[in-house]
Amino acid sequence: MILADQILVESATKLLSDLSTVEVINASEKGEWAKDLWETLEDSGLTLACVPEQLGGAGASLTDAFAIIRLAGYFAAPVPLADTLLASYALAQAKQKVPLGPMTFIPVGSNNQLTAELTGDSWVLSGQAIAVPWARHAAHVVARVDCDGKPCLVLIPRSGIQVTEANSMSGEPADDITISDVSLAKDAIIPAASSDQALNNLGALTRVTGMVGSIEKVLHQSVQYATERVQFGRPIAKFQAIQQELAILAGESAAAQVIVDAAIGEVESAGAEEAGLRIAAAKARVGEAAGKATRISHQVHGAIGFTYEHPLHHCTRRIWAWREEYGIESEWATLLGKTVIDHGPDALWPWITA
Amino acid sequence: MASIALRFPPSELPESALHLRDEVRAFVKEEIAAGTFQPTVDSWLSGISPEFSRKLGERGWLGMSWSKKYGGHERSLLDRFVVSKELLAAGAPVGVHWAGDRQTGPMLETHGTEYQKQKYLPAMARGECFFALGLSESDAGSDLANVRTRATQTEGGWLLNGSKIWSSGAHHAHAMVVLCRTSPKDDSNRHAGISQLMIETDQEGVTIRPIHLITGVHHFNEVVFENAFVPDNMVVGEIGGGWAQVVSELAFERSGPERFLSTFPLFLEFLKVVKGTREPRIQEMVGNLTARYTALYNMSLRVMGMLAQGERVDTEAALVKDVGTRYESELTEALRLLVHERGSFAEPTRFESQLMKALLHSPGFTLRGGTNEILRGMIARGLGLR
Ligand SMILES: Cc1cc2nc3c(=O)[nH]c(=O)nc-3n(C[C@H](O)[C@H](O)[C@H](O)COP(=O)(O)OP(=O)(O)OC[C@H]3O[C@@H](n4cnc5c(N)ncnc54)[C@H](O)[C@@H]3O)c2cc1C
Repeated sequence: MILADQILVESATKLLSDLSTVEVINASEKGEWAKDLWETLEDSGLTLACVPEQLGGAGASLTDAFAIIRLAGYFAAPVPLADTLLASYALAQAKQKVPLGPMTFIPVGSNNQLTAELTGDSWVLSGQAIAVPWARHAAHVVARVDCDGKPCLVLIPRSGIQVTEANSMSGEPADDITISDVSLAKDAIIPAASSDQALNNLGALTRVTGMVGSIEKVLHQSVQYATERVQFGRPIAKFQAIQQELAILAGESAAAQVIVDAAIGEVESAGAEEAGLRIAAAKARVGEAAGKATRISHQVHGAIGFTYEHPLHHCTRRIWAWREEYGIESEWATLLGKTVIDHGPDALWPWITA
Repeated sequence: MASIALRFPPSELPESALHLRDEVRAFVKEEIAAGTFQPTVDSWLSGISPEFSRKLGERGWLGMSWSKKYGGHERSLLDRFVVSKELLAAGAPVGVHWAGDRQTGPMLETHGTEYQKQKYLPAMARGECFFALGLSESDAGSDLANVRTRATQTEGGWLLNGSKIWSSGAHHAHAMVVLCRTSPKDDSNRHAGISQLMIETDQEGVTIRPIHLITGVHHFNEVVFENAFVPDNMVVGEIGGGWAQVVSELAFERSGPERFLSTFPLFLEFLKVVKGTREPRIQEMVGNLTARYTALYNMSLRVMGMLAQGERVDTEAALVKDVGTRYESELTEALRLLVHERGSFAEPTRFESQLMKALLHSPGFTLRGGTNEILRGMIARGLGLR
């Protein structure tokens, strides 16, 4: 297993804890772009961490990039780190130079109704895509579009798209976009080098990785709160009912963490496409942990945690929102279960322990 | 980022452990093919086969981490983990040697005298000598420090009086380490004055009475001591130091793969039953259950990795045990809803008989070796709540 670079993790932690503050997160939800936060991340090479240096990135490993996404989940960082990772990964796999600035990625799927048509000797892009994360703030959108029946990536500058703003449950942008007859430069159409399967797997992995960070955060917040909140003359942490619930939350956090690590490890060793089943397992298990973690953390916080005032919702709402993205856990569980059943009982234990 | 002392650093099995894994898998396959055993749920409680234990001993798969001087094999805890997880996943009969191999042996190696080590450890590692655990009493369950069995000093040793209860497999065991009071209870220090004395089950003054499980099977025992003589050379560790010894012994008790695999053989039977199914409900559930095993396996491996490095893992081990033992029953509950047909009780299918067994054994999963409520109390302490 490849370990995330400790220095990188430490500097990302410091940076995010300094700059992803309650005020910044709330302002972002009101529509303000977290400029300082993004620029500092970008200057530190954290936004394109796993892009090779010759293509404009920091040349770190995918494991490093995922460690950053986990931290972004922990600090509820209101910037498109996960989506920029996906877009930049797709471009870098296709040996494209990756631009700086925030990006978002539109995979194939029912939300993506973009089409490219050859008119004269240039490609013209039109159509809609819905619920595109961070579209309004993206400097570039990378979308998977078929050109001449071949899977391609198109790199569209923000100026070419109209945005209808909307937010997901997390309060983060999930905009609908329209593109009307935008002529694309030759070099803006790139034959895709990764399969849709691989990109979808990686997308799911970014979401569960963010969730692991956020679950860890709500565990810490809940433990902290329980030791401070006094009722009946003592901190509620002294009540066994609270202790038992938080112990369960700690177990869910650990389970989520290890299964996501296992999936990231398999992406590193076998590739994003081949790691599909372990990512499915992660999506299923973390989805379950998500339900428990949000329930318990809110229960322990009482009414104050149910208010906008209190920052608990920064993570609980993100957990709920990310759980829905790149396929709900029942779809992934069904995929995994189908394969397990097809391969039969003899193959199961070797797979679990691989 | 973690302000909390809960850690699950990555751990990987070394190449040698992977070879070992393949050896155990091949062995298990041969044994099943030869009809030595049929895979069964909760095989570390109910799989009783001294013969199988001896076979494991011959292969060097008992006493694996103990010193060669005492018949052990000086292999890492990760190697032992590999053997355990493979045998449990296969539902192999490992019940008679389990407690001794897991905790009494390592405890003796640390605290026992040269005489005790020479006498017991090599025989245990050969699979010829089995131990029962003498901890619980009728008034000392979760509150173990409340033990009342007492030993009084006499010429050349101690006289033991009182009784132990819930002693798993004491009727198969040759010996037992008994937690007892060697000086009267001091309410200001409940853990003082407790010692560990070793008895042999066939010695004078020791009576073993069967206690049956809800299945009707003889598993538990009450072990009664009436002036049972324990010579000084059968005192384990320090007189008065028993509490610390038992606490360190219990750390081994909590961290193993038996804490999530007790019902795994039922899952394998289930997969045979639903072979070829296209029912999405079943596929989804199988996916979820597989995901949960994958998480538990990785948690368990990481705890073992830390233990093998000599780190303290009390909280983490309690956490894996809490999540894992609850899951053993949750799996059973999930599977029973996916198979509609039930047949004759005269000739139940393998899945049906294992399902019944898993349900009937389920109350034990979250009680044995410290209840889940107590475990969560330990986790809460690790989290800094108490
Ligand atoms: C299958 C099996 C095998 C066993 N094998 C052995 C053996 O070989 N040797 C041996 O010595 N013992 C053995 N035991 C005994 C086991 O260690 C005890 O059952 C266990 O420690 C609980 O004690 P108890 O049964 O007296 O329950 P109690 O301690 O009376 O507990 C009853 C209930 O109260 C709860 N409770 C108790 N105290 C607290 C608290 N402070 N906070 C919250 N809840 C609490 C418990 O969680 C439980 O739900 C075995 C038990 C089982 C089930």
